[in-house]
Amino acid sequence: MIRVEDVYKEFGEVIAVDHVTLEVPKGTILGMIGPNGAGKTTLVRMMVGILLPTSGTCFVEEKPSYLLTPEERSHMGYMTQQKALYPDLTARENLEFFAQSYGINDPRVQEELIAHAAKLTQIVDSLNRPVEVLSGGTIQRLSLACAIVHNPDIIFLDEPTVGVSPELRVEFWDYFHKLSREGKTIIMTTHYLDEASRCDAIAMIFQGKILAHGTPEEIISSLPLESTISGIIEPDESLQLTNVLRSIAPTEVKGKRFTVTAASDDDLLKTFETIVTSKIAVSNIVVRQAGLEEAFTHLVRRSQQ
Amino acid sequence: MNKRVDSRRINTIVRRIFKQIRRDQRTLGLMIIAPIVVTVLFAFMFTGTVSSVPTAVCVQDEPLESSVGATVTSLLEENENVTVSHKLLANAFDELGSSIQAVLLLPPNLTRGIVLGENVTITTFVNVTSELQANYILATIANATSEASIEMFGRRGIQLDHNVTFDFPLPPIGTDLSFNLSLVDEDVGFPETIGAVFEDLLSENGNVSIITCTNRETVIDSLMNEVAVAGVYISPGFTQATLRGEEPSIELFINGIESTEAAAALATLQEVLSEALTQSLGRGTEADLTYIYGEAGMSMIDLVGPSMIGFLSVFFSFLIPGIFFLRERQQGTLERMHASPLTDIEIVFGYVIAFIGVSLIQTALVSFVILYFSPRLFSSILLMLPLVLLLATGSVTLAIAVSYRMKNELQVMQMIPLFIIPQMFLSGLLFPLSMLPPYLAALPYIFPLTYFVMAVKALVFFQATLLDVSIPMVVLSIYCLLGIVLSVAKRIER
Repeated sequence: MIRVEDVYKEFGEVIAVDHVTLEVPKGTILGMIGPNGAGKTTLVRMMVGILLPTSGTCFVEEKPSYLLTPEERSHMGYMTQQKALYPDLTARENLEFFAQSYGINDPRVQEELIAHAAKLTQIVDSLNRPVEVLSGGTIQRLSLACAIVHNPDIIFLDEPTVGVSPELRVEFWDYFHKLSREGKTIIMTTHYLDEASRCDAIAMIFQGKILAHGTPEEIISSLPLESTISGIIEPDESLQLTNVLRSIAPTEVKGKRFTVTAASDDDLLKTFETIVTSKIAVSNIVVRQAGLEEAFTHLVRRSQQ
Repeated sequence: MNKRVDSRRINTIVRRIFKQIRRDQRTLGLMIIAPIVVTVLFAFMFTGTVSSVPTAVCVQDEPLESSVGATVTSLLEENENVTVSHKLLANAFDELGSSIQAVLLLPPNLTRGIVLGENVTITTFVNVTSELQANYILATIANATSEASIEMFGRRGIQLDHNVTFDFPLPPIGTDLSFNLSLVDEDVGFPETIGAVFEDLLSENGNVSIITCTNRETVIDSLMNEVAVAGVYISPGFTQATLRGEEPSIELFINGIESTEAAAALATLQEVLSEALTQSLGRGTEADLTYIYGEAGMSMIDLVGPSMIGFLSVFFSFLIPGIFFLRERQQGTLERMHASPLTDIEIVFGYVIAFIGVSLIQTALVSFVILYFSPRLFSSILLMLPLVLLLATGSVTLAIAVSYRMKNELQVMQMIPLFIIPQMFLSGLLFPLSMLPPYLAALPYIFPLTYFVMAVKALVFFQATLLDVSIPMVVLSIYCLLGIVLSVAKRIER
């Protein structure tokens, strides 16, 4: 379990992390989302224990993270946002070095773990090539492999899927979920909102503050977000539709296309039912429910007001 | 922060660094070639002129005790047949022909003329009644003058000019040849000393700066203490001995280790001495040369070589790990290492061990080149190993400490003019610390190389043991500790 308790960090005049409190239970995946410069990486570095908070404390298993012993650190893995690899060494030599740094000294165990990490990140064919000749995507995968090669219990991933192909990203996520099922805790930062929705919990960070923290569903449902239903109708029926929906939600008609904006899930449902029961001939109905993107936009707007 | 040190983890870092160095073949090649090239260049360098070499000078020379005139006078006075009355030139002839039989005029330049080897004329006026007596008087005076010259300078140099008047018809009276002599001694003697002339000429010479000493021992001491590079001692009897044609005693002392300066000082001293003698006597002389330490014929590489090993060690042990470590930080691998079980002290030790390995290889290369040019240093070089280790360790750790605080390679490079080049000039490697102007005098002592050079000179040229150089060794150890503390102190960013 990881606990962030009222952590505040400033760099000179700039407040990077502004009194953040968080809890990540064992076996869960926490996604931290926010734009560049929101303070995600700073928060991760303080959780890892390589950056000291100005005030507050990050606890890893009830111990301040910067006081962890080497033995305790060996159960943690950290993938930095930078590639953080030795370009003149081969992929295998990089993996060997980080495995050994984490105390994997038995050559057989080391070999097995490297093979496993390489298979998972699909870099088996590149193992014996120097990093400097590898493609960007392969380097990103190798960087992930180096963070997990020692089979850690707590994994910090700073933007792990940048530059990774969509298919591979799906595989990464399958793996992250598998790890989480095994009881491993994963803390990752991302700015892909669709990716965040795959996390057990997300923390939306903006200007050093946590705007929202919870499961994606909790966050979306807790906010007054608008959903839309749109479709095609015959022009002569447009007035009828507007009248039917008047009491439920505002309706806009442009040519053959109509759009109804519902302020809540209830309104959305009611709108849908009304349209169906009104026997007005509509086609191509599209329902757009509010997602994390809308939630985040809403929260940012609210925080700026 | 846990400071437990695990040798296996250190070993991991060391092996990884060696792998990286081996993999980057161009850098590896340059790391081997650069020290060799630099050392060879060093061996051919620094033949320029030197000025203001600190030189300890002690001149105790004394002037000639007596003048020829005084000696002639006393010889005549000792002669019982001569009654000498001292007169001034104005009244010397007053009683000539009555109570005075002869007048002897000793000119002012009498002594100087003899010293300079010129023929000096002294004039005698005789007024007697018989030729016999006239001859006797002239012979007595001639004897006295030549005896005086021989007694003082071992040679004759006086010509006697005489002017005899006979007063007739007085007949010769008996056999009494005794006479009264009116003596005018204007001889000023030879009041200068060659030593004083030497000192004057030396002080006018820009090649040396004079440190005045009170006796021979302080001259030697100031060389031992490296206050002076050369020394000269002129004993009290120098002028006297020179004038007498005896072996004159002048001693020149040279600190053979500071060869360039010593050679310049020696040439200057010899030149000035010969000039002083020429000016005083019209001829030169040879001087004894004593080496306080070092020996004749030591070349620059013999003398600078051992210190150079230290300089190159500082240079390479600072720059290569500095840039290597900076890259580690820039590419993010340092952050990964920090997040891993590797402790900061393990990372620093890993670096130190790896780069001391590199440094030792480079030192060996440098040493081979130096030994090629200067085989006589063979026995001393092994003795220097502990010093090289201390210096290299300090440089590696300081490089790490600096790299932590620098943003890019360009900033690390600025340490060359700020930290490395000054050590080349201010550590006593190229010229002695005593030659620095007073406002820079304290500066060398902030540089580790100064202590290395100090210790190495003692080991190589004074046959000192490591125990004798314990103070520089302690300072170098403090330098290492400082580097370790500074590099470890930066781990957790605040």
